Amino acid sequence: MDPESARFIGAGLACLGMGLAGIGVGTIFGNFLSGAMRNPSAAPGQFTNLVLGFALTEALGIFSLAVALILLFVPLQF
Amino acid sequence: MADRKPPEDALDNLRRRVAEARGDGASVSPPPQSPASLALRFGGEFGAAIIVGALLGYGVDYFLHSSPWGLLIGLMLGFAAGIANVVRLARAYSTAHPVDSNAPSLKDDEED
Amino acid sequence: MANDPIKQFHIEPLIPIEVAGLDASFTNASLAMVAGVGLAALFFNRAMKPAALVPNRAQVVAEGAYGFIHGMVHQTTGDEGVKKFFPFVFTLFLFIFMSNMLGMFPGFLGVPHVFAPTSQIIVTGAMAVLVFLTVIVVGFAKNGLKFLNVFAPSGLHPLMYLFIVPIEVVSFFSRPLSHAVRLWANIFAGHLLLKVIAGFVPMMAAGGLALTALSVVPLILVVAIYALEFLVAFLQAYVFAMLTCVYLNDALHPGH
Repeated sequence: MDPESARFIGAGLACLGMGLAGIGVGTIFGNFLSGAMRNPSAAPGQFTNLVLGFALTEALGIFSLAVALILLFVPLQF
Repeated sequence: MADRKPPEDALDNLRRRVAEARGDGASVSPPPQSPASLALRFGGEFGAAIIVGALLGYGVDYFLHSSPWGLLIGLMLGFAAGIANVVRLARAYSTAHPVDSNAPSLKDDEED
Repeated sequence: MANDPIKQFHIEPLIPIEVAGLDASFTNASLAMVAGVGLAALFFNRAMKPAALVPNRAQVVAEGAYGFIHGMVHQTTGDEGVKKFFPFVFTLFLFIFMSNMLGMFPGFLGVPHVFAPTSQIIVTGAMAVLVFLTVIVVGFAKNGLKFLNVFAPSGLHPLMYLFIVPIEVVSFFSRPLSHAVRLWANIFAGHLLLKVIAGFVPMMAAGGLALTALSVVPLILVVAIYALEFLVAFLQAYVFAMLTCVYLNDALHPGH
């Protein structure tokens, strides 16, 4: 295969990781909301945990974005 | 009515009475935001920081020939800045719309 | 597709002008912007003409808008900011509001494709960059090098600054982008949605008996969204002006 086209295919595949991270973020916020609806007064106390979980999950998505961007924009030496 | 220049004391008097009728000064209450624009705001704030971080990193790469490290570090910085932005926004939002601390909590109905 | 929902945003030159090889034509977007400015100026000129102690209806609207934005600028930037920046913020607000409102009325002055100029990212981007540069210029002119405090929040461990300062720098530079995209995306998405759903009506009406009866549903939806768009037109102008105030406040009082 032409290495140039392989790069683009690889970048596309790497972007799947961002979608999967989206699932994870949705799970986190969905569970936080269902918990917050049950006990609204305790919800603000869990804000730090919420952000921490969001950051950890989204970081993995950002890694795959980094892979995609590197594949697209960094000239590779062969 | 052709009173182009009303007497100053009459205006002051009116202003005082209006302020009294309104309560403490002219309070401006921002209109409620629609949920869609709020979501767009959070997402835009987060995404914009990442894009700008990556672009700045790419620019550094371009001038210093340090590819791919500038892009990587810029992306991570942009990510951190995005989270900082979102946290700042959420804090401002939750102080503007505090949760009722007397709100009743629901009993957990799961069997565990 | 017969009715392309993107077509409403097409820019067509009305008076072709070319300056030094650059296309500087007077387009329908330019016309809409001029109309926005003209309408705002005309309205305020006419409404404030009597300047009566007991105002008529138009004057109440004009004074209400003035008071509303004045209060907002005062609340966010304090006494000093309101003196310096109120004209700027009020101009921005009126221009955005009038532009948004123009987009709500299809066809204008016999020109078929007048739209909200704020649905072009170049317009919102130019305004956001203007605000951004104003913040930088005013910040440095007023505070000198102390303006750099905006990147370094006080009361942290010295080692933390190693991480915080780059993050704050990126966060600062991301402002014009999110500022511009927010206004643009709201207006653009709103008008796109209107057009797409409105396109369902004739498609369903031509579709046969059951579909024809059901075509009332998107019709009602369009009317409801149209009402919502009027709210969005005001709200986004307000949000843009408010964020401008928040950013300008940083220029006056760096270090949060």
